[in-house]
Order: sequence, then C-alpha cells, then structure tokens
Amino acid sequence: MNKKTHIRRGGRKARSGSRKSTLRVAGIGAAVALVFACFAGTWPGTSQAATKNATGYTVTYAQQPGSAPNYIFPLQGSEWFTFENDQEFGYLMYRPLYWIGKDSKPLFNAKLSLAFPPVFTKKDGDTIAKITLKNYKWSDGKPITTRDVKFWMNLLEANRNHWGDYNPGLFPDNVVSIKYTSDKTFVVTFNKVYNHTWLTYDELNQIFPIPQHAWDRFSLNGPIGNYDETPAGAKKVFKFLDKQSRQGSTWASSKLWQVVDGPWKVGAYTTSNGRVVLVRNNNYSGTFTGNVTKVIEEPFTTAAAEYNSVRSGSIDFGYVPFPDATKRQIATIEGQGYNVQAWNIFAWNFWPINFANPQVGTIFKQLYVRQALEHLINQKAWIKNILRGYAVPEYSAIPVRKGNPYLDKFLSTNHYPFSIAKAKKLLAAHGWALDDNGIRTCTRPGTASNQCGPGVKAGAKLQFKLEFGSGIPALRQEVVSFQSAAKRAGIDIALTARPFSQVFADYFSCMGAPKSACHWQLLAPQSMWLYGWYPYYYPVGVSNWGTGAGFNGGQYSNKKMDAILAAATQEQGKKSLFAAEHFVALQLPTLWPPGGPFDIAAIRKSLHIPVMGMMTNLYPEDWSVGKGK
Amino acid sequence: MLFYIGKRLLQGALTVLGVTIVVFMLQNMIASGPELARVLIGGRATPGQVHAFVKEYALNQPAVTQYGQYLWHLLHGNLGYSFKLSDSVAHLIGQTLPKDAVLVVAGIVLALILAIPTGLYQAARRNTAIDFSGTGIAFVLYSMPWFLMGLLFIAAFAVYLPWLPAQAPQGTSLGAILSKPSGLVLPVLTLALGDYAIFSRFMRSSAVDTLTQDFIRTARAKGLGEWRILTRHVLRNSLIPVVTVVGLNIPQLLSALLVVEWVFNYPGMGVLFFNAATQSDYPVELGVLLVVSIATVVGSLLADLAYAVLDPRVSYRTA
Repeated sequence: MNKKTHIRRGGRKARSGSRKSTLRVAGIGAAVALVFACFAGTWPGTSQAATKNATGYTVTYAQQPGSAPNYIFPLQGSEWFTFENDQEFGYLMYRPLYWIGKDSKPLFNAKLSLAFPPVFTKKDGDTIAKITLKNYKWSDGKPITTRDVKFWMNLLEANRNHWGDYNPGLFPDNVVSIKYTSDKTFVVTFNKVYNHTWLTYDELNQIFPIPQHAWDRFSLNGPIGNYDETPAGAKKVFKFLDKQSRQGSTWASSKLWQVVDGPWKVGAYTTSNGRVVLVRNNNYSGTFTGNVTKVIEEPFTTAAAEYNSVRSGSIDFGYVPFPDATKRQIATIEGQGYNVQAWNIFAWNFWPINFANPQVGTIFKQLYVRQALEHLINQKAWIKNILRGYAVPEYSAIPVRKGNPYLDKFLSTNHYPFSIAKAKKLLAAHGWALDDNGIRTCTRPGTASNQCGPGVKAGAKLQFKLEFGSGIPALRQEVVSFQSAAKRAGIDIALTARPFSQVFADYFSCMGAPKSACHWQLLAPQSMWLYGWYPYYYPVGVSNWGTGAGFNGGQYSNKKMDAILAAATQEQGKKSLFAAEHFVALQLPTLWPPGGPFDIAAIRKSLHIPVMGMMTNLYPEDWSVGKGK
Repeated sequence: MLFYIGKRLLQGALTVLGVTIVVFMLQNMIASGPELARVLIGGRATPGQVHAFVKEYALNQPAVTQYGQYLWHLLHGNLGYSFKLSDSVAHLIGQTLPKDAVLVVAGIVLALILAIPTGLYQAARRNTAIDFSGTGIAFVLYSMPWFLMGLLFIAAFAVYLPWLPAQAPQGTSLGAILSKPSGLVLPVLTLALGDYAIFSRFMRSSAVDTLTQDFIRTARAKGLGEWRILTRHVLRNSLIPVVTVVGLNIPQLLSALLVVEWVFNYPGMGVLFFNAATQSDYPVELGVLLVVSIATVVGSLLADLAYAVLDPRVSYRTA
C-alpha cells in the first residue's frame, strides 16, 4: 500500500518536475534541429560535383564496385592485368606505342600514338617493321627515345613469364631482332609474314616506352644505370619496379611514378579502397582540348551506393545499375540533370563449354549437341524481358553493334535461333531418345551421321552441370530460362551459383590439370559483357580458340580452326579474318548468350564527353564542363 | 587489480590466438595452393605464372607451416601484405581504423547522449504515454536492420530532401573525412539510432529497478528533489548494466559498421574486410579479424573494469 502511494506521489512529483524536463528535452531537441538545419544549409550538401578550381574543373567519375586500380607499373603480371589498371588508370599516364581506339571504334588512332604508323616490308619470309617515334617528352622534360623502347623490351624479354599478357609463340617470342638505329627510329623483325593490321593492333601496341632515365635502377635512391641490358639486371630492375608498384601509398609522391608521358598523373591514391585523384601533367606533349584539370575516380561499395550518389547528384560521370534502368528511373535521372546512355564497348559475352571434362567432354565435342544447346538460348526474349533492352544479340565473338568495322551480314545473322523443336530434332536425328525420366540417352552409339558421334557411349545421358555467377539477378533468370528450355528438349541442366571470381577461375582450372581435377562442364559467369578484345584489338581470336591458347579455358581444339586463325594473322586484308569469325560463329566453341554494354552511363548534362572509350577508356583531357550538349 | 587485468589479458591473448587459428584454417579449406592462386591472379595466368605466384606466397606449404610463418611474422609486428591492394595489411588497417574509430565513438556517444536521458525519463514516467511512445520508438529502431535505416535516411535526406550527401566523405587521411562533416551525419545517425534502441531499453529497465531501491525512498523521504534524485542517485547506479551492454556491444557494432560503411560508401575497415572476403584477400581478412577480436577482448575487459569505477562494491582484488 505504501509502495503504491509512494509511486503515485513520486509520479505526481515527477509529473510536476516533468514540465521542466519536457522543456529541457524540447530545448535540446530544438537546439539539435537548429544545428542540423544550420549545417544542412551551410555545408556542401549533396552537390560536390564538377567544382571549379583555379585552373579548371574537377570531375568525379564512378568506378565499378570492386574495380579499383591497384597497380601502376605498365609491365603487369596476370593479377594486375585488368581494365581498371589500364583503360581507367594506367593508360592515362603511360601510353602504348600505338593507340587503338578512335571515335569509339576499334581502329588505329594516329593522333594518340607515340609513333608514326609502322612501315612494313618483307624479307626472306620475315616481316620487318620500321618505326619512328614522334617528338614526345616525359613529364620531367626529357625526350622519349628508342632507349625507352629498348628498356621496355629488355624488361619484357627477361621477365616474359611474369607478364600477364604473355602468350607463348606470340609477342615477344615471334620477334627475331630489334635494331635501334637512332634516338627516334627502330626496326623490328618478326619471324613470319604477318598481317600488318594484326601486327599493329595486337603486337606492336603492346610496346610501352618507359622512362629509362628514371626507372633503370635497383633502389629508389640508387644510381641510374644501363642495368636492363643484361637479363640478370633486367630481372632485378623489374623486381624493384614491381615492388615499388605494389606500394600504392607512395604513388602520389614517388619519383618513379611521377614521371609520365600521358596527360595525367597520380595526385592522390587511397590503398584501402582504390580512390584515385588524377591531376594534369602540364608537360604533356599532346593536347588538352577540355577544361578538366582534376579527375577523381570514386570507388563504391555497391552499385546501389553509386546509384544513390547519382540520384543525389554528387557524381559527374556515373552509371545506372541494370536492375534500376527502368524507363521511369531513367526519366527521373534525366530530370535531375543527367544524360543517360548505354556505354557500348568492343567486347563479348560467352558461356564456356568444357571440352576436356572427363564425363561430358566427348558429348560437347559433337557439333550438333552444341547447336542444340544454342537453339535453347532465347536471345530476343532475354534481351527484352531480362536485360531491359540494353543488350544486343551475339552470334559470334564480334559484337553485333552499329559501326563495328568487323561485322558483316553473316556475323549479324543468328544461325541457331531459339527453337526447342529444332534442338529436339537435332538430338533425335543423332540417336538420342527420351528415357523414363524424360532425359535424352544415347541409343545409337557410333560415328555415322545418324549416330551419337565419336567417343559417346551407349547409355550416355544429356545431363550437364552449369555453374553461374551468383548475385546477378539477370543471369539467374537467364540460366533458369535455359534450364527450362533444355528440360523441354530432354536435357537435364543442374544449376549451381558461385561467386563470379570463382566461376571465372574455374574456366582455367582444367588447363594443365589432371583430368580427375577437371570438374566444370558449362559456365555462365556474367549476364553482360565479359571479355573485351583487349589488348588484341584485331579480333582474330588466336588466344581464344587456338589449340592450347592462353585464353582457351574450355580447351576447344580443331585443326581447321587453327589453320584458319593462323591464316587470319598472316594474310593481308580482312578476308581471312572474316573467314575465321564465320567459322567461330558456326562451330560454337562456346555458347553465345546476349551481350550488353559496359554500363548505362549517367553523365551530368554540363559535362561534355566527346568520345566514349571503345574499351572503357577514359579521355578526360578532352572533357569539358559548361559546354553541355 | 593488476593481477586480474594480467589474467584477463592472457585469456584475451589466447582467445585472439584461437580466432586466428580458426580463421586461417577456414581460409585454407575454402581455397589454397594453385586453386587460390588462380582465383587471385585471374584468367590470363599461364601455369608458369600460377606456379610462380604459389612459390612467392608460399602457398604450396602445408597449412600448419603457413600458419606458423604467419604467427612468426605477427610476433614481429608484420601482419602481412595484401594480395590485391598494393599495400601492407598494417598500413591498410592504420588507414581505415581511425576512420572507423571516429564513426564508432561518434555513434556510441550520440547513442548514449540520447539513450541515457530518455531511458531515465521513461523510467521516471513509466507507464505513461511518453514511456509507451519511447518504448515503441525503441522497438521500431531495434527491429529495423541497419541497412534499411541507412537506406531510408538516404532516401529521405539525400534524395527527396537533398540536405545531406548520400555518401560519406572520401579520402586517404582522417583529416579528409573530418573536413566534410556533413557526410558523417547520416552514417553516425544510423549507427547511433541502432544502439540507442538497445541502450535506452537497458537504461530504462535499470533505472526502474533503481527507483524501487530503499535508498531512493530514503532520499525522497528526506525531501530531495526528483531531478536531484534522478541525476545524483539513480543515474550512476543505473549505468552499470548500460556499461556492460556498451562493452559487449562492440563486436555487434563492428558488424553494424560493415553494413553502415557498405550503405554509405564509407572508406573504413568494414568495406576493407568485405572486399577482402569477396576477393580472397586472405592476409587482409585475417588482419581485420585480428583487430576485431582484440577490440572485442579489450572492450569486454574495459566494461568489467568500469564496474569497479561505477560500483564501489565491485572489487577485483585477490584474496
């Protein structure tokens, strides 16, 4: 009773005191609100973009999630050989001898190349390329000479096994000799007669002059020498430069990486998330046609976080994630002052087939099986219903896009259009009958045209495992659609989701591995573009479909294909190139799903970008703020 | 007291060691040797390059040997080098930890500033409309995932009412982060409100208990004012469970930090850890988990020590 009374009394007291407390709380609340309002009014708020500084504008570019640059030395190992290290970063500072990419097309760009076009001659079955450098300078004022080319070549030759782009038999293996005839001229002799375009686009473009006068050393404070001229010295110099390149926190201040020949250099770099600030190289020998003097490459944790920044207007050059790219959302973004456009690049998407798989490899080797599988991919419906109209159909490794100089009528035609009936017919015609579970089983083994084909045993079933990249809703819908169509044709597809990096690593896991360790059968790593014609811009595909080639993870092997690919690299003109691509389109060394753009770019209307890079390249030296379209 | 601290630190060191063993072995079970090398160095690598990578990082050694080497380096202050980020793990953590410290401290302080008076007030006015409202708000905030709260804040204060940035300030140094405080408002608020819900409930419950104690009755009987009773007598005694919760909340806070950093693109250790986990960057993963486990152990020890400060009855003297 007492307690009850006490509580009531206390309650009354508290209530009478509560008025004061309420006032205090209200006062604190009002103060917080006032501070908040003041800050909201006076702080930078949401619009941090395209700020003007003393000399020009600062522009913010959104990196793709998990795609930050992490290596600066142009001679990169495999782990560093990425788009983000090259097109979005390295190429802005260190330019290749020959620049491929002109007006968003995969064509030779004389203006951005460091050398005049090569002059080719033939001698005793070899190809000789005479190359003359332009009068470009390093940012420290020293001229770019053939010594810088020689420095690159010496390091490359001594460390070719560390080079991410090394393909045995190709560059630099097929270089017989290089003669440096003057400060500006050198002559490269190749071991065969080669197609000149292929040599320029795929081989000579892989020479990067690097500053010998600043980098030919064993330690940061050690003397500059000609150490690269012996293989042992070249290995030691490479080791030193590689180690320095792995110290990202020093890039902005290092006397090594501040010597550049491109239009930009590192102003700041955050190692933990890859944020880059690029500032102008005021001694650039080329031209700045824009008024942007600083570029911030902003990293994002997710596409959603990036999109929030676009929606709040704090990014100048960002993107709209595919799931958000509805008409309504696009209209909203455009209404907020952005131009939205698909950023198409010279790339393709593919679903690899494992010809080396010990269980089903022999089945995949039958062309009619691959044809049946391709008939089950409904490209039109996927593009319309899953990919929101932003993808294009793919019938070979040549993107079916307007303006592609490597596209002809044949490559623009779907030779295996979606048709479950055709898939069924093909399989039935080769002796595959439905079993009690509705799965096709080989009932006519043998090599005749109406039998299952060489190596396929009686009772073999069309049951495949397909691993696909997890976390990509569009891809999940695609593989489920494929599984459903396959089921109707009598093919059982078991789906497994795995992280993209593991799916992609699986693609190469059978190369040089024992058969018992070769597990994957079909892969679907991505829903959009997956592989760019980079740095092999002349799209022959030697490294993709050639027997034993470096990127041929499915281990497709066909003597006719090898001969056709070799011809395309050796014969002049595009005829043999088209022959090779036509053969690829018909042979299906991989399955072709639709391919999409790099992203759906959202660019502030006041930012004028004359050319969208054909391989995600950035050209901020030509960007202008205030000259909106 | 010193003996107690020493004992706890020793237990903590063993706990941290255990964490490193478990994490190291789990990493080895997920991928190791050439398989890990292939994941890390990507598609273009030739078998020779894979072999070279395996050799460089000693991935061909048995897991126990690798762990022994890791431990040896750890004892020499070397946390290893990132597979992916061109930097040492120690430097990466040194770069991100202060940024997280700002976020965590600001979040906890704001949560306590809001939770302690609210909890106290609710206890004093329990079973009234204000108390029920406070309880309702706390339950809503408690049941709301951090990511949802963050996204709602972005939608409200960055997109529809464009008052604050959708993303946190960026930059290498802590100074760069602090130079744009507007970008810190939403992440700090998200962290703080999640914690506020927990802290205010504990504070209220603890204060309700304290208010029924005899010494409070005595204080009232002596005619002490309600404000004075609450601030001088109830507050200090009610803080003990809250301190426990703050200490034990540290691991949970670090997981919240991961989500908050993720949503607001905050360049802290949570994002560093997430990226490391998705890219198989084992040294960074291990380094961050080491820091988190140390923080957990130290947080729990500090909470225990704070009891002694707040409650004279608690003593850690040995008999």
